[in-house]
Amino acid sequence: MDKESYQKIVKKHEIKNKRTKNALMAFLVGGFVGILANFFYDISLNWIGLEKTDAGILSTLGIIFITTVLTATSLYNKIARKAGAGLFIPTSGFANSVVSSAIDAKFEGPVYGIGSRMFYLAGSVITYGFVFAFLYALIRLLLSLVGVAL
Amino acid sequence: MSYSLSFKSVFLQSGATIAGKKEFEGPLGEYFDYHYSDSYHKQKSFEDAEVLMLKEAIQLAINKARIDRTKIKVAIGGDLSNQLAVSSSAIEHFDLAYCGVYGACSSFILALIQACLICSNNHNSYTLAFTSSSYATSERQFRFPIEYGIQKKDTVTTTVTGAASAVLGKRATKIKVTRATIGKVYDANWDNVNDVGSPMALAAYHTIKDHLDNNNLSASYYDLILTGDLSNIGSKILLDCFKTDGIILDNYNDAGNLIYHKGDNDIHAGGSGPACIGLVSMSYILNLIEKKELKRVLLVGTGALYSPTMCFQHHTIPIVAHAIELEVNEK
Repeated sequence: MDKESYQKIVKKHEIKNKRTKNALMAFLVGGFVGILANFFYDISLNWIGLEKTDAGILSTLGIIFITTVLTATSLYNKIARKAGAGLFIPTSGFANSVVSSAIDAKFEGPVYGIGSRMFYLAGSVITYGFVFAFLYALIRLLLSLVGVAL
Repeated sequence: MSYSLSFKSVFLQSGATIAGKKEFEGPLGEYFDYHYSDSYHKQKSFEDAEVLMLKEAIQLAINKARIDRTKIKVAIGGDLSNQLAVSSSAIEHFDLAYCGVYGACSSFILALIQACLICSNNHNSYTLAFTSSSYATSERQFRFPIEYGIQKKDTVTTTVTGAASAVLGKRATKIKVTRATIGKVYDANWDNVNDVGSPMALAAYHTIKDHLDNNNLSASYYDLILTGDLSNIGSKILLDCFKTDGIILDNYNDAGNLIYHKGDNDIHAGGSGPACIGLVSMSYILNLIEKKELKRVLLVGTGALYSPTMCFQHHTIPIVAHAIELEVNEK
């Protein structure tokens, strides 16, 4: 059998991604995470009486904490299978990648396991976070030289 | 081109299977000798649990064969772990010469073929073939951490947790191993690791076709042609490949489609791993052959010989399939 006719058969049986369903779930779950974070924000701002920046940090920490607990109790990946990008894009996705890697690496001990493999998946986010933060700072600097303030 | 060979009166002395929890809960659960209730089985790590599972499967096959243990001389086996670490750790507990084989998910069939070859030329000794795979260890090695929340594609297969082992020898039993075909490695120009069933169908097609051609057989000669882990997509592709040749395979099934309940969303496209065909063939299929409900069965192990490193470097996935024939001993 030649490659072309084989590719044709493969193409025939290709499974289409459920894009509409996935996008809808991501919209709903992502929106819910946003509402939850805003709820934490309002509480810290109005009830605890924190500054705006501190309240922002606390709401992020709230999401990270919940994600960590859900990941450690094996519930997160069950929810994430349905929610997809709704949980992957917010801080919860980042927190889950760090915690799940750490849990997975525990067998290899604190140094070769958890210590070195904790950022196995999150490493790219951190690395390119640095790169783009530097580029952003550079653009701000150049613009400030011509008198534009961001 | 694949290479076909035949064996001089080699018989399957015994087959033993140990399954994981999910496999036990599947439609074939009652056929397995034993099952584990979790991925740890009271061990410190998933790897330790897999080693223990394999060790117990080997011991069970030796016990079930009811022969003088010292007559078993050689063990051939393989699994999915790097450097075949699981196989080596399990077999060191036995006083056997050992040869590790790697054919990804086709490892069990490859081990069976080599074990039969050694038996075929050796009148007094018995050989052992074994394999194991585990969902937890494979996820860690080939994919992502187990608790990582990712939306898996519908084309992904689920690695079967289990261990299978068989003892082969010249003493006549109900099941005879007659012929085998060692497959060629193909390149289906495929680099999507989320769907390895589709490319593997090509290797399975060629190996089955070569096996039939080399032995002058038609597909209907077999009561069952069972592939290892083509997934529900790959099995449809295989059927279509034969259809283009004008052959309708109505005696075909895939072990990955048999082992789990249909419609289970966590399974995605079906079961995979060397233990997939190992568990199904050494329990359910042996049972059917012993009852003479199946007289001739062709087992086709299919393997995607990829490494995550090479795939990240955009290499295509080499694929292979090996076949072995089991039949009822009528005498």
